[in-house]
Amino acid sequence: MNANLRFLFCSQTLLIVCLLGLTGYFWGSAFYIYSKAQLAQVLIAKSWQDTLQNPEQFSKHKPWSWADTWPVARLRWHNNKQYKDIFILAGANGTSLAFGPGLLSGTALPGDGFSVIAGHRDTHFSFLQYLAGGDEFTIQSRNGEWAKFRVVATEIVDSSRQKLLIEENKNVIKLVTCYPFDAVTPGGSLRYVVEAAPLHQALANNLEFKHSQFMHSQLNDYQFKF
Amino acid sequence: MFRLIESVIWFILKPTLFVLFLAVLIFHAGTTLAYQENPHEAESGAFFLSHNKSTVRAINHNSHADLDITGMVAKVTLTQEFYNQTDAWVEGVYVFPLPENSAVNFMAMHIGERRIVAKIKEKQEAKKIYQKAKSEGKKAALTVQQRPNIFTQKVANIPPGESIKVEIRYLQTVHYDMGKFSLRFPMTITPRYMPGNTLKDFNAEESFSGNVNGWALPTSQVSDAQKISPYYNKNNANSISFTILLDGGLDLETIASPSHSVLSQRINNSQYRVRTQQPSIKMDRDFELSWSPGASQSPKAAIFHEKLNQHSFIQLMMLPPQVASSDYLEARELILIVDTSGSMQGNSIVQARESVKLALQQLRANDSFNLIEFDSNHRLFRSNAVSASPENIRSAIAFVESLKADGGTNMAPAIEAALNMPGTEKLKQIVFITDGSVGNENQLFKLIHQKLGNARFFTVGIGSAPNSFFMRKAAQFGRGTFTHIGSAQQVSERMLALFQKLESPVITNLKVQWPDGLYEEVYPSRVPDLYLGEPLLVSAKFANSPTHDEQIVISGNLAGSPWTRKISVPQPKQTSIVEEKPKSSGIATFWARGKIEHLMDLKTMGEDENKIKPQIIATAVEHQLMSAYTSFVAVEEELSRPASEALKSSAVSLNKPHGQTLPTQAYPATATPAMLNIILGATSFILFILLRLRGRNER
Repeated sequence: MNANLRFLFCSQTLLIVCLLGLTGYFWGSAFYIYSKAQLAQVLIAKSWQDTLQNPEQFSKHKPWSWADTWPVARLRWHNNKQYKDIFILAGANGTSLAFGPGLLSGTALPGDGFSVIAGHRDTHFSFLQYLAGGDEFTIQSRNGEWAKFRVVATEIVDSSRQKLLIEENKNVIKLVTCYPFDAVTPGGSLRYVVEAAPLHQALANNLEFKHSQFMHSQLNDYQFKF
Repeated sequence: MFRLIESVIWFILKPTLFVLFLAVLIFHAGTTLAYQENPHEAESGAFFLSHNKSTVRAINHNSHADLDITGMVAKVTLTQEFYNQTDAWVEGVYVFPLPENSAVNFMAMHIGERRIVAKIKEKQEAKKIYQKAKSEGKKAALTVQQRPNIFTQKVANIPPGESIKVEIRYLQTVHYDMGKFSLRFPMTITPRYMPGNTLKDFNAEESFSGNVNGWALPTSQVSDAQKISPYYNKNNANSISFTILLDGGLDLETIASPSHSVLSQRINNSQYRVRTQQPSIKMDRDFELSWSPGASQSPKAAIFHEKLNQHSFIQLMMLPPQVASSDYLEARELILIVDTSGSMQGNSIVQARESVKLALQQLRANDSFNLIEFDSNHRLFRSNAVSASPENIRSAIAFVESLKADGGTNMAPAIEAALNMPGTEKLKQIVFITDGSVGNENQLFKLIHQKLGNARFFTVGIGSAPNSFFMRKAAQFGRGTFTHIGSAQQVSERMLALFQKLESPVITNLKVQWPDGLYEEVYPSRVPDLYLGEPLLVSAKFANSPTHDEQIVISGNLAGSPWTRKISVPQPKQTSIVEEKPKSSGIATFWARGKIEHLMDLKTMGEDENKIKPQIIATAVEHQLMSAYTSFVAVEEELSRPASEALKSSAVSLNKPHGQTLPTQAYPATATPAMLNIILGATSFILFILLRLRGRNER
């Protein structure tokens, strides 16, 4: 084996190790993200139990001791195929969203006014794509009461062009996630918004379901933007 | 090589370790993990009230203001009614604005026909008295000053379905400028921006459960943020009615209100009754009333003399000679700072843009200028002041047109940038266009005071409910003046008036010589320079009464030439503070208010709080005045609420300032790179396999 070949062999081994490492890293990270999302919910379930027992001290019921968030509500939904039972955390920042959907700070608790809950489109809030007008889900508040909500509108917005309007005089929940659901890269500007009203209110006002979407061309642009 | 392998192993190990770790935690928690449908079945009724807190307005609030204006003094009686609409006992908490120069000297609680007059106490002591009465079940009222223009009214133990009225009285000097008198009555508070980091030790539960009466949490720079951030109601629910009696002492040419439509009726020689066209007014903006005598009748000087408890007080108002001309003024450097923060959204930003454009058009060829806009960050039009050439002005106007309102209100860096901008030989005038909706006023005053140098700082208050305290004091520390613009129609009139002031010579070196050796304390202690149309206004306290006809000599410098004027002391009026309905002309009260303000200014400028606090308390208690350290408290003697009934606290919400758009937030980021990672991982895996295959083939 001459020196040239040895060098080639060496660099090839290096390359193989690199590729294996990269594969491990990328898959590991993906696994990390998914497992964090799934397993954290189990821990949060425990702290939600504590919250229900002692709702006055809710911010003390942290899922793990160094957490900077705590559960504020529980959401359940199902259709023929799927079943979701997720716990909503205080705050919709990067850290809390990794573990569960978050209540945007400054907005009301679900059922108490204008409430905005954001979640990741590829973990907790992937089910939003199956929500259609008239669908219902239930939310448990800190004091243990369950309340039904009915979807009254879905909307696709471009977050680079418009901001989230906090309409304090409305009693609705807005569930926000990224759009499109199957996009590969994170950080896109589109958002999918599901608006739901308390069931009695939705029935009383005989709200008609609406779906609105801004221009299509921009949607297409997005999917290939890396 | 070894390092690489190590890090590769670590890459793979990190997630695995985390998962293992989580699994251990879950095992630990698993035993108690049981799904229950409703663990609070038995108790759930108890939570219903709080659950519905956003749908029921616990307290209905209405106000009445009685304005009695004589000459330069307005005596205002504000009655607030707290009506409990629920079937539980309620404590009402109302954060409300008053004029920034108000001297609050009376509070009483009305329960049906009974009236309980409040006592002035040291702030903490008043709070204790109130808390005690509240927990004992006695009806009680407490008025606390948060800022010179923001107060908190608390009323404890309002019975179900009943109401308690609170009567607050204050005195205020009328604003006199450019031959026009005016008065502002604020009715709501524009949401304030609280710079700084949220304080960690503040109780997070309170903030989430609504026990705190404000939407903001204390920050490192605004430690009382929760006390000055009232909630806003949905439907413009709070209303007020006015009765106004105006005695200008002269024939008035006009009586008008730029903010509301008013009708006036002359009832005798100098008295007018003014009423608003709508008897009931929504409290969503400042009420402004202005009146002016005919041009020939403009008052040039007024002096008031009051005797109280062996002391003598004199208030002097004088309009110095005027030169309205720009011939005297050398070239200047004008720096415009525009607030483009979120609170300026709606009408305000439009008015601000118009104001700046108008200002740019006023520039003369040898002037230089610059623009600074700020929200969370600030941005300069040019790094240094540039000449007012037509091209520069054109591109500045384009810069202004592009301004949008959103983000925070980080004033300090913008103000600092303006003050630090390398100076030229020219006179530096900074015009700050803002709604002043920040919570860290004192920090900003301090900054202006320390960095002012030879510059002059002017404020232009924009919007329906600007922070007038900020406007007035920032201009005072900046040795400039302040202007208010409440609507688009006022932009040109008020900005042109401001520019007239900027261009006209200033009266400097003002001195007031009181009769020999008699005076004790005079406020303001240093007379500020006066701009065109501004009167001199000072209050003095004397140990002995100066005799009638003694002379007060006022001197100053105008456009390089000195002038003097003499005014003789009039006969004093005898008054006493303890009277049931004080007939006092308020001269002593204004003097005390001036002293307190002076002491607070010293504190802003760095004086030790422990030194000035006792002085303020002493002055405030002697003159029955509200201050940062004294509060009014009234307590009913008998018990009202039975011990078995609980007391709920309920914040009275304010009306949203007129023309302000709804608040918005940015959408959070809601996607993970998981799928991207899977694909990238798969790609490198495929590459790896390809490489292995090729390696095998080669061998």
